[in-house]
Amino acid sequence: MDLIERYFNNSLSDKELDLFEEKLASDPVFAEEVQQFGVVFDALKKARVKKLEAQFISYEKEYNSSGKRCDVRKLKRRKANVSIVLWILFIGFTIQTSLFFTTKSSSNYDELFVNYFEVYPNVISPMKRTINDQNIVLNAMNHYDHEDYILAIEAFDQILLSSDSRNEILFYKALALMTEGDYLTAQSQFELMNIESGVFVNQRNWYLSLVLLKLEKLTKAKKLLKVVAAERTSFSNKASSLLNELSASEQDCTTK
Amino acid sequence: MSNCVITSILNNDNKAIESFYHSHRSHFISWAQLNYNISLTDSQDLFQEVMIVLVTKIQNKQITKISSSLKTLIFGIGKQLIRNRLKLIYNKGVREEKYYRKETNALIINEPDDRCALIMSILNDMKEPCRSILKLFYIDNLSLKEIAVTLNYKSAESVKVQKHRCLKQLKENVFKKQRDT
Repeated sequence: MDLIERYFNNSLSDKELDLFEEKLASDPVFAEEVQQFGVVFDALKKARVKKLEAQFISYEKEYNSSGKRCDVRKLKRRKANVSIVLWILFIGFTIQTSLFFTTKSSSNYDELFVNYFEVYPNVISPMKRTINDQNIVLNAMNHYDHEDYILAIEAFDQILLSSDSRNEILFYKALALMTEGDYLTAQSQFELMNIESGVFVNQRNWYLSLVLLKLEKLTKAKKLLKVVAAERTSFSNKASSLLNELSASEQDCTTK
Repeated sequence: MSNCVITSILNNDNKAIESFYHSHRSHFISWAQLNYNISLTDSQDLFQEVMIVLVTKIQNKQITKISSSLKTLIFGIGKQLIRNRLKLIYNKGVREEKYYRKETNALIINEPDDRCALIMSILNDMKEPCRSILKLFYIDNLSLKEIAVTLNYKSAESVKVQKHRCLKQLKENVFKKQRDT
């Protein structure tokens, strides 16, 4: 019995395995016994996997549908951290340490992001599609219009499984993720868009540069903003103005 | 560090498994979405599959020590699973077989699942201590020593002897039931 179990766990030594296989080939009763144990071990292994699956699904409850973790303990810890940071900032303000300036520059980017970020309106429905597709897209955009971004993200994911117009859906999904504060996933969705197709590319570049700004990837953000500013679109003025503000804020920090 | 995590997973330390799960989840999901064009939901499922493979391999002692980091291992398993899935999608034979099975009898597709369900129901109907010993060992992944403590056995060796008897009994019950039906 022990040998049979070790056979199925691949833990027999080479010598044991040779003897085992010899017996399997020469003894049909033994072979049948091994085959039957194999069926039982297989079912037990599957039950173990099911238990692990259930365990991991329970971990997933800590995340919302956009994939962000919403751990209460972490939130409490974050709250405590925020108050500590505020306290440090207060002390920093009074004694004017260099820490103050560093923190200020990063909060400047946040402020710039808030000033420039506006949810892009729904301009894709109604569209010419098959009735079935149209319903799914309408449903997703309906969630988007009603600011139910989590539901919208789920619906966009469904569409992305089979859609032929990926750029628009990826764009709106990224926008929904931005409003939900998941900037990293939003960036990945923008980067999945096909730039060659030209569909929603100007919009994508503008919003991606905002995400990069939020994530403090300044070099990349500025490079993309220059591209947006150079093209004559409704975003060029905003991009130029944001670039100016960024340079001003950098100069401000260096002077200080 | 990685080998410490392996030891914790091997010892079925659920807190360590949970913390390990959370610490790699978001990076893996972003990576899968970005590099393989997989949706958020599919990436989440893929990550769970990777974790199942990893935990099972560690607990079956197929992975005992690693020279690289566990993160590299996770992403490696992820790549392998994606490749396997792509192979399945593009494998003509598999597609044809799937189509043929759909066309014929739904019972054929469910056969392995049905058999597992039958074996698990026979296990659940077994008397104590067999039911607990088999469940604790094979499903909860407790060691013989831990089972000895939990079920008040003198030693791990006596649990091992009892476990063998129970396993044999389970196998006999399963095949008796199959013969009867």
